[in-house]
Amino acid sequence: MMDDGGLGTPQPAFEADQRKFAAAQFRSGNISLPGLWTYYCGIGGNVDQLGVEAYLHELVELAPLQMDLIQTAIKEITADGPGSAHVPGL
Amino acid sequence: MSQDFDIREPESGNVGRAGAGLHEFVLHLQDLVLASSDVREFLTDTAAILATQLSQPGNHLSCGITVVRQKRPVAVASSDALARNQDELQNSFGRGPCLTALRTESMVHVPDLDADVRWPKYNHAARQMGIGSILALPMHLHAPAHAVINLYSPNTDGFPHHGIDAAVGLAGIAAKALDLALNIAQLRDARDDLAAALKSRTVIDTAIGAIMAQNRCNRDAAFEILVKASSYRNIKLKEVAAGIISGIGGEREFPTTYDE
Repeated sequence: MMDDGGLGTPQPAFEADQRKFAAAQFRSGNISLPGLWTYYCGIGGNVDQLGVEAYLHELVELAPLQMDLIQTAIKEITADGPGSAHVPGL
Repeated sequence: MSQDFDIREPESGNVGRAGAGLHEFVLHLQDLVLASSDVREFLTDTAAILATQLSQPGNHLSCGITVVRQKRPVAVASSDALARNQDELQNSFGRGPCLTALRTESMVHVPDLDADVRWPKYNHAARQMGIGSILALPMHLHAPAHAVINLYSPNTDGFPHHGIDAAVGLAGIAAKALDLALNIAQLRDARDDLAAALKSRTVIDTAIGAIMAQNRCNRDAAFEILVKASSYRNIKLKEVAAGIISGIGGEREFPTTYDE
């Protein structure tokens, strides 16, 4: 299924989509991996940083709960809004 | 065996007037690294001492420093309002000597703004603000960041050869200090994140235990209930957990001892 990004559905239909969705959000969200992992660990996540990185590169599957927690962590971090400044052209 | 370290003697005269104050400059930078509470404060003080150190009678320099880190806001600092306005002016154009130095990681020297043809619009605007010449020096860092020192002179040809050599020498020393300051800042951030995570996890784990007891379910199922509740109500997981605990035990504060 192609995601044209037009509808912006926040709830993915199945697990592969959830992973793709998380990976895309992580890339666009300007979040550091150590920062994400620390936050995810803080809300109860149990997979180590390497495992989370592999998941976000769409290399491995994780237990549904861990995927949900990563999703939650990304959502809560981006909602806080780091608001990064930007030098044009960099 | 090849020598992979630099054993060249510093050529006398190259460091110019700064040579005398070099020792003090290094000590001053070390103090700044130790005393600054954040990177911006360190940069502001560094810009000020660079401007003082490199200024000559009749050639008062302004100094701005820009640091771009991955996934972090850009840090900008300056010795005075003139340098700050110049950095902002250049950012508004999106191009100019300092941004070019930052992107190409090589030195950019504009000896005469009127004669330079590379950035005509920016040069004209900078000239209006009383700038005669510009020297932009990239700082070579080990940290995953890019930084540039921007020096502004009110005179044309404000950076003669010995002036450039002195500035390059000081920029190299300042880069090492900046590397240290960035490292310390990154470790401090990581420590703060971990302390926050420890605190949050205590609250969440307590709530998970309560949900398990109430629903007679295992840990994973309790977590799913908590995650769903947070998602449906669009409230942070930690806040839902805190609500559950205070609903049962009446607690609103959850002290977590975390000594350094």
